[in-house]
Amino acid sequence: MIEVEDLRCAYNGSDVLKGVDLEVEEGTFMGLLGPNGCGKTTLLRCITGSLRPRRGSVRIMGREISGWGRKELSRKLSIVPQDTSPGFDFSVEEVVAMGRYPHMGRFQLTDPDGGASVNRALRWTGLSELRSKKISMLSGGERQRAFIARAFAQDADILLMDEPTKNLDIRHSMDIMSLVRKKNGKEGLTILAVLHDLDLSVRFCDKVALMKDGKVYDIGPVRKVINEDSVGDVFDIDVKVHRGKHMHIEVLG
Amino acid sequence: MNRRGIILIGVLLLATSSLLALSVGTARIPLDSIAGILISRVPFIGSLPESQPSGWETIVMDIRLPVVIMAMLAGAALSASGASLQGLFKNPLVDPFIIGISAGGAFGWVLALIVTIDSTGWWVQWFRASLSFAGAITAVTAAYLIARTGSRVPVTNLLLAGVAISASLTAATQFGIYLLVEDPRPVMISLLGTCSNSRWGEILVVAPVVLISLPALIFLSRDLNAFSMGEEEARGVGVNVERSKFLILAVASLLAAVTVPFCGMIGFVGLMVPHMVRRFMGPDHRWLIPGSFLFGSSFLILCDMFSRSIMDRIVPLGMVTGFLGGLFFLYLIAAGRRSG
Repeated sequence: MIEVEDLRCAYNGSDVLKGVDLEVEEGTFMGLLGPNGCGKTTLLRCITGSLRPRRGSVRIMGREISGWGRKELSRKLSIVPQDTSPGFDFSVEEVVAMGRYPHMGRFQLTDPDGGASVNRALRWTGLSELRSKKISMLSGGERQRAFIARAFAQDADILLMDEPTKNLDIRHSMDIMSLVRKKNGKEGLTILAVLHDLDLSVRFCDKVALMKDGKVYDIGPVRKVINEDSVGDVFDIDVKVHRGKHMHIEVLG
Repeated sequence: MNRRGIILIGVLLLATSSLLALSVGTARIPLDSIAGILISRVPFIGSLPESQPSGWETIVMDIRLPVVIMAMLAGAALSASGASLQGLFKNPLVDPFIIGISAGGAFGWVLALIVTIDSTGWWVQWFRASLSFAGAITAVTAAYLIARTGSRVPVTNLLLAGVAISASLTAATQFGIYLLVEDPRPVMISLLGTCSNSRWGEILVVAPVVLISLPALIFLSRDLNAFSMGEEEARGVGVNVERSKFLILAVASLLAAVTVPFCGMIGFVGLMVPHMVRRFMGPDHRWLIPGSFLFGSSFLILCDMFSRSIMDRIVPLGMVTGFLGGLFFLYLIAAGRRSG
């Protein structure tokens, strides 16, 4: 679904991505892990087409990213960016309905067929009851669910998320992760998510890509990639990996 | 109350305030005579009532009606422009004049004034208006070009560039007036805004711009909704961010810039009206834009009526909008705080 090859992208003259290769197959839930500043968000923004790489290629469903029209692309690929803060106080339903925009014609002001998708997205995220609430009245976890619902309403095949559990407590983080995991399991949604919590990542993702210093350090199934050496090396810490029913990464120092 | 109901109230308010504004002035003309005069102009139906002073028809049709229509157009233009720029910048404190439009317009106008200070003739006011419009468009274009980095135009850069350009041009304008204009009072009234000198010829210039821009902004209102969530979010739902930004900015600038040559700098309308409308109709731009258009026009008609009637001379309209608008706005903030 997503193929990235030798991607190099520069900010202010210096390369942030120094030759990234990455592939996300259809139906995979992949976590993107790595220390701050290693280029995870930059990589994500190259995949959404919001940053233009200096070299290399990004292909979505086999087609080069520059060959997609913006609207056409957003019918296939939905995004939940980091720290969304609405400038104005929309209702939950209004926010979710924005996910239908890529399916509407230029001169269409309302979307007569979109109601079903909006309702489905609200149900998936458990927000049906809160649909007419203002976004500012929601808790942090509910807000994040609303932004995910908007992405679901897009009926896209791919979902990109940037730190979807940032600023959320452990319970709400679990909620968010199991929500997208369920969507991935039942409908085969392909997910690539930048994550910071190692325990949550190993628990919910099929595969992970570990990034370090603008490159992919290792990529593959969670239990293969995550071990004392790799995590220690990438994050520059000492860890012990407990491999029970749920993997747990204990930080030693 | 639902949004259709509010639009209906807006239409009624517009009709009422227009009639009132036609009636108020040096000669007070009763409302039924105004209705009679207006109806008499409708082909086939109307005929002029016999029993009224002969001058009334001239006053209503040739003097007051163009003034009221100009106030309506300018109010609508500034409010719709403000609403869309607030959405684009994702910031409720933005108004159309912050990106350099009014400062550029004033600068152009004063420049033209200084060149033509001893000239007379019908062309003088059109020359000043043209230069003022050119100044407004040049200033906002300059802000856009200065803010551009590579292929994109970050909105924070645009705001900063606009504020800086406004500051310099305003200082230059004031310097020009200070240095070269003996009696600044007539200049003041032109700069601080008035619709009271408007004639039909000017309306023929302003009206098409305003009437074409409204549907344009309504078709951009989905993009504006997306922009209010953030640029990454807008891109995510398929908005062609830079192209859309350019279009919104172009239409909003054109709307505000076309008012400056004919009405001067009428401040605060573009900031306040969208706020008020958002309060009652919510932030969805598909409603907010037409709502601002409607309520903005009534608001400016009423302010213009005050500006013509509170003193024996015309008070600059920008002062009325600033003063009344500011007070009303404070009331809304206080009321909003009480209701939680």
